[in-house]
Amino acid sequence: MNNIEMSLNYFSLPFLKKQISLLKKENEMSSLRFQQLIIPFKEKLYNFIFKALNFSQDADDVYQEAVLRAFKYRNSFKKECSFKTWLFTIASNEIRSYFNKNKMLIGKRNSLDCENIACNADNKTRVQDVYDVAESLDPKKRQVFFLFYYNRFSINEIKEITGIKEGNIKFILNKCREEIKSKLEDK
Amino acid sequence: MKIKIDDDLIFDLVSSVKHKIPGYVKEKLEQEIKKREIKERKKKKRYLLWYPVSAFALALIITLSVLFPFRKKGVEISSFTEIRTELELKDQNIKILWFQKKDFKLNRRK
Repeated sequence: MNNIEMSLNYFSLPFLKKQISLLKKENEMSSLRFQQLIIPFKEKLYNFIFKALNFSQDADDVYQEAVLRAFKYRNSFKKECSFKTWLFTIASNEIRSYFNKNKMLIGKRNSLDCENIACNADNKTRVQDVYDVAESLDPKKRQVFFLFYYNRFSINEIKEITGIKEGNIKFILNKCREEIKSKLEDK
Repeated sequence: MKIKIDDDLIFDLVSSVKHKIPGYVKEKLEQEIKKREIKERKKKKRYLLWYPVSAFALALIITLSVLFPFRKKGVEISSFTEIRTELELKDQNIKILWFQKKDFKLNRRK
């Protein structure tokens, strides 16, 4: 193929379309792929937001906002990092902005729904105690608590998600652990 | 009875509370995602239309920039310094000469 033919081919429409589709495959995440990736984390994400918001009904809106934001910026997700961490970082930011907007609306949580506690009667009081400790925390610390004890993220991952220093995360978790211990051991 | 309280126990206690995503939230989310997907597709199509146009424009610019240095230079035209107009009235023996020069001012003489 001589140079003229090559240059003509370069500016032809099928060639351009092929190049664009190749670029798309490299950098873009399709809507279907996003929906496939999010399936295993949907419930956990919803529960994390619900708990971090002290079982407020606003969790529905925050959850929707977080998922839609993730969908909007799905192409900015880098393959090197974990999708779960990336998703929870977005959720954490949404929770933070919710608390910034609704500083006056942070109320007490409703008593835990017995239907949603999957354990025996002995454990129910213990669960209540644990959630009482979580409720007493400020929103930022509560996020750390649930990221560690509910979503089982490592301290490094929590650091990545919340932007809190490693030492502070350890301090928060230790404090929670001690409080829970003293509460449960008293009984 | 005293129980051993460790991270695993706390984990079990915390994760024993589970809530399902409400149906209306799921539905609303799916609809919203579909809506955004359609919007994105429309936007992409619009962008795709511009690719051949921009490719053609680029090709034109490249061709012109390649050809321009080899263009034959023409004879340079000197700039005008004076415009002279002559009028001659046929039977009256009158000749009018009108010189128009650069920076010529009409109100020179008062």
